[in-house]
Amino acid sequence: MNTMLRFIWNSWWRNKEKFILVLVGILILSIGLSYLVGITQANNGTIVDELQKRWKSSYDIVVRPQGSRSVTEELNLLEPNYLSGLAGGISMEQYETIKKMDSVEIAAPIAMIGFTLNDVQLDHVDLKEPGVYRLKVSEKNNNGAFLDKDEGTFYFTEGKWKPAGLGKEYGVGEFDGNLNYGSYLLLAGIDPEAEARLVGLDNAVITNGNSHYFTKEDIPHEYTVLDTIKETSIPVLISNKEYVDSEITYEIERLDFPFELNEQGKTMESIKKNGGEAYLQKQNGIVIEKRSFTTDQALEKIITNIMESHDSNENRFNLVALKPSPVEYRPIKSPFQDRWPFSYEITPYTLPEDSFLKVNQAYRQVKPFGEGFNDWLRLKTEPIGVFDPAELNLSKDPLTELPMETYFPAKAKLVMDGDETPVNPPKTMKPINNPYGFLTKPPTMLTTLEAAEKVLGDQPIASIRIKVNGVNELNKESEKILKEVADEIEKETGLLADITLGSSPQPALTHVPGIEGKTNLGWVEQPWIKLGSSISIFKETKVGASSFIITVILVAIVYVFSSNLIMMYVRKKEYAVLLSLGWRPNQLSKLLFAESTILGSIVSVISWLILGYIYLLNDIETSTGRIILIGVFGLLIYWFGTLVPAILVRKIKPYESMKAGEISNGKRYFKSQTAIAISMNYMMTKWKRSLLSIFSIALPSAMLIFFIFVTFRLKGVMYATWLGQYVALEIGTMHYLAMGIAMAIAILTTLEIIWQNVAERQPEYAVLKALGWRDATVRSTILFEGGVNGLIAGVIGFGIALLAIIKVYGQNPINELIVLIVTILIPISAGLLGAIIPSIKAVKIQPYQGLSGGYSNSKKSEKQFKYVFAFGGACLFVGIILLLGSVIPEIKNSANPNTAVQGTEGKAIDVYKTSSSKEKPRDKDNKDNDFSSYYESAFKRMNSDDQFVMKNDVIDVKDFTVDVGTVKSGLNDGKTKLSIPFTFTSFTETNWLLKPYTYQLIDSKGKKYNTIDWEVVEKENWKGNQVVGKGKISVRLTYEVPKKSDNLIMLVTIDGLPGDIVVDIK
Amino acid sequence: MENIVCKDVSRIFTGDGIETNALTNINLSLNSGDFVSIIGPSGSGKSTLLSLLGTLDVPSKGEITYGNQKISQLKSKELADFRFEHIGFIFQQFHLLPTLTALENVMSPLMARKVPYNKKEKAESLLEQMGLKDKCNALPSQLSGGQQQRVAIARALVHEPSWLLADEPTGNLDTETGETIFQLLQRLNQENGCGVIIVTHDPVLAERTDIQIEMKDGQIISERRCEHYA
Repeated sequence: MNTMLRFIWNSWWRNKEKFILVLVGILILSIGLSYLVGITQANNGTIVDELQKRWKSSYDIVVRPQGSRSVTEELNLLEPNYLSGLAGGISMEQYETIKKMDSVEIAAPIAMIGFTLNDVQLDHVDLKEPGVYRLKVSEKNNNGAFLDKDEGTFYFTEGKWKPAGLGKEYGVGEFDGNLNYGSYLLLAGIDPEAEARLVGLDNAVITNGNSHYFTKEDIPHEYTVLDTIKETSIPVLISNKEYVDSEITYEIERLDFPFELNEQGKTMESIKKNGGEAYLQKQNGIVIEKRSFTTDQALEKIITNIMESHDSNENRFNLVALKPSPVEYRPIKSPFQDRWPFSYEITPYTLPEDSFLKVNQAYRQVKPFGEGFNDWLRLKTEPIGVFDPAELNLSKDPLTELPMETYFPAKAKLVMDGDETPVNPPKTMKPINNPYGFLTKPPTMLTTLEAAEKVLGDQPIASIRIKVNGVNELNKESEKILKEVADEIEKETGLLADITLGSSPQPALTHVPGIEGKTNLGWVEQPWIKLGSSISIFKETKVGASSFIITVILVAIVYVFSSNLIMMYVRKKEYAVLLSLGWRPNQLSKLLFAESTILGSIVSVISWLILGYIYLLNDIETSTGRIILIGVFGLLIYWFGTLVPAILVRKIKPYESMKAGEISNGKRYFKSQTAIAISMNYMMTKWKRSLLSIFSIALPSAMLIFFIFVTFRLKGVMYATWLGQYVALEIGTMHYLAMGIAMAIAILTTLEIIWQNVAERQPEYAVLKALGWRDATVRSTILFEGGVNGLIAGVIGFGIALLAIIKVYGQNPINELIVLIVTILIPISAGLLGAIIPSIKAVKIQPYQGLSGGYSNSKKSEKQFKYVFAFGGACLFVGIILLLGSVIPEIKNSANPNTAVQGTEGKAIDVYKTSSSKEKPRDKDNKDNDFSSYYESAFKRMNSDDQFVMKNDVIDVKDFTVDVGTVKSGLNDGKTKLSIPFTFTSFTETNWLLKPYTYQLIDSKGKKYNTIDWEVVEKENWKGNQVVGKGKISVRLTYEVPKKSDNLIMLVTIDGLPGDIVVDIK
Repeated sequence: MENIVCKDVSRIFTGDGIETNALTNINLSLNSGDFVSIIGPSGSGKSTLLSLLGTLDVPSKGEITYGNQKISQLKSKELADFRFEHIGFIFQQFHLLPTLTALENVMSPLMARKVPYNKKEKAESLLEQMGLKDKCNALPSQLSGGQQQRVAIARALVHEPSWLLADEPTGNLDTETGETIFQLLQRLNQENGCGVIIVTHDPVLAERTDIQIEMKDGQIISERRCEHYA
């Protein structure tokens, strides 16, 4: 063995150029392994967002009224901008009490008043020609995911004719020609002094002569409009940021009716007779005016009006009808618990049947100030200034990710659609121009607390944000102080006081179900607030690095394979000689494996050294498993790469030692009349080798092109579900570095292959040079060879990447095609780079060198070489280690506490339905026609004529009962009419949402039947599909089923239960 | 000792669809200790015959027998062992391993083999016999042609073969050096009783061997046995 080692060592050491290549390969592989396997895996692919460091809320404690805690707080989670959803509940006395406490540094109350339409006249149309007109108003609301359209039509006349009354019977009204637009703002009252101290609101005001912060003079006035009707004028500050992205289009059409002065009356009477508005709707019109305005334009106009003080009083009157309200969340099981342990579903609010609003469902509770508009707030907003929320003294990095502060809309990204397919890239959701959207808006119109008190009455304050004296850092001491202060507040005022210091953003998933008129939007990710005394880390799990580690390893194996193969070609004759001297063929295999074991071990050792150095410096935790893995990888790469050459080497015939100098007996593929053609011929004769170099360049090229696509198109992050796991692949430095390493290995592979090609053609080059070829020609033929290899690799890589992009995203990267095509330059450069050194070698060939092998070994040069080599190698090694050592800290620090997070549980509902007529069978259920699937997924199973009792296990009281009475049937036109009595009785204070009229009957063939009729027999506390507290709903549901139907089941859905109650109908 | 018998040996090369008959129906019988030369023009098949005799290659047809051992019955590993035991090779281009010193080259057949003697001492003594004692640590590139060929002969002898096969051993050498090498081979044949087969196209050299086999177009056209020293 000793002699064999000597033999191996000699063959390396006495063949220095090759040996350098081998060592470079070892170094690259070592770096790759230590970096990719050691470091990447150490982070377990987790990149920690440094947000936590910048994360500091402006307040330490939040005080809220009793009963304002959301269900989500059971898991210490708060909805982003939760403050905006609270309406009143704290009195001025309570506020004063808190304010006076010694430990309270700042107590900043916020009184959410309600939503007000902040609109402005943007244009005016003056219609001179008398006639009947149609005004079409359409609003396009960009919610981030799609355009939400809303349209309305209105008819008016222009002329002397006026209806006797309101004109409803004519279907027309009056139009003053003013075109207004604006968005709904959340109006909130704040204490100017406290707000200035807490967030520096005073400094955020854009001051000029007409815009200023609240002063002592800015006070509300109440005045009487009519006998009993009072209005309040309040000073307001308006935010200069518009978060709603909407556009309104006014389109005026003139209808074809005779409307001369003498005909007006006649025309209108005939319209009335023909059906008024319904008749008008059928008429064609000619568009005479069309204007569009955006919410941004509206706000700009408003701001300009304020700043330049040509604000007239005309539009300042506001009826505030709606109070702010929170979104009701229901915890559900996250579809991807590893990534989002917390998932909620919005429980849509169904409006009472007698609601004044035209919609039946909304994403949040609609809380009007009263039944009629007499109860609404009558406000006259007097703008005193404009403020810029960006100037507030809040930690604003990144601006939109601060769910606790009141001044910005919380970031929301649509990450998956209704089918749980990832959205690429995730779409940033925008608030819509109405108060009932699911995104909670920040208050953008501010008034004084005084004004809020005046309009809201007794308990105007919704919450108080408190800054406590002596709390600056997050530590045990602060925690203790805060706890004391919170307890004191709760004791003194009876309000809820929660510590918010130390809370952090927690990405949570919200399922936005479909409601009336809206499809199942999908899953929205928002940074929620995780309350807790310890800072948890805002982390994003990135995809395991395995895929690109595999790529690098594959390329490495190809490199070792090529390198070995070439070594084999070089030593083919040597091996044949050894065989003829009596060596056994398997000794040659052993020789190769011994060699690769040595090299692989060196790679492992160097990797360990690099890793050890990095760990030493950076205090990164690692596992023994990983360290072993590196060793194994190092050896495996070399062993795998040797496998094929080790087999091939056994096929060498000893007879080949008898052959004289091998002359390549390649075929002709091209007419060898130009240097390029000769080069191509050379390449084609060795096409198998070229294939290796092409493969090794193509693989990292494909990955690179793919990464570049992700970087450009998807802003660096790709989302996908792989094997049912949600993964986010963030393309970062690491990925490019990995591909850089792979590319370096590919270049090395190419270099070795072309090197060998040149070496084999040495006699030919010598002859060509003797015949007068210039160095430049020789160089260009070799560079050309490298370039062509690169180009082919590039095209292949591009194709693979393109397929991958289309397959993974279903997206056509047409927009990025140019960028991607340019990336083909990378593999081409790789090919060229690989060809440079061989081309230098070829140029150095002298005509006289002819057929000699040429091993020059003067003692002197050998010694020199030793020193130069040792020195250069050491420098390179140290340099790389230093480089890695300085790069790593950027990505270290995962800490990665893999503590199991208790996530949310529950089932998502696609669409919430309101009425039976719109009822459609659920898609999912259509697939199964067998009852067993219903029984399996059922929460309970019962018979008709029976009762189901839901009991609270803990205190043994009845929660509710479900009674299904005797089914009566009757015949009707060959069909059976079934009448099923259904009663739901609640015994506790819980609210139960149920819609008995949506319950379907299903027969054994899977056919579904909706109710054809239903009547309420008895009700108690039954409001808007809910049994509110203790109460009861008893209905008689009527179905029509074919005569022969038997074996029917009824699916009873009660919101909040984990499954349906399946009732066997006899 | 081992006599070599070739019976109806043919060797056909197939390349690019064309069959070339390198050897046709060779029948030959050599006794151990014979000093044999094979002569003939280029392409006459002499090197091919030598490689068949040296078990570097196998005949397409026919059978070669060493003593009682049929070569065709041997697997590649056994063949290697057979070569190790019985055959030493000397090449026209010497084929020294360029990365090994003279001494290492001589030792190279013994690598990874167990032998009853000290490998290094054996190699050194052989080099001494060849008059290259001071060149033990020289690399092939640092040696002259004659020196290289003597290293190659030492290498061929290190495992004490019964036959020494030489392919144009003097072809790459000047006349004087060539003569030295030939005399060396002659001495080995006489003193060690080691059979020698040389391929050459030098008729003068061939004249001095016991058996002269003349080849043309893959066939033996004459076989002369001289009893020079009878």
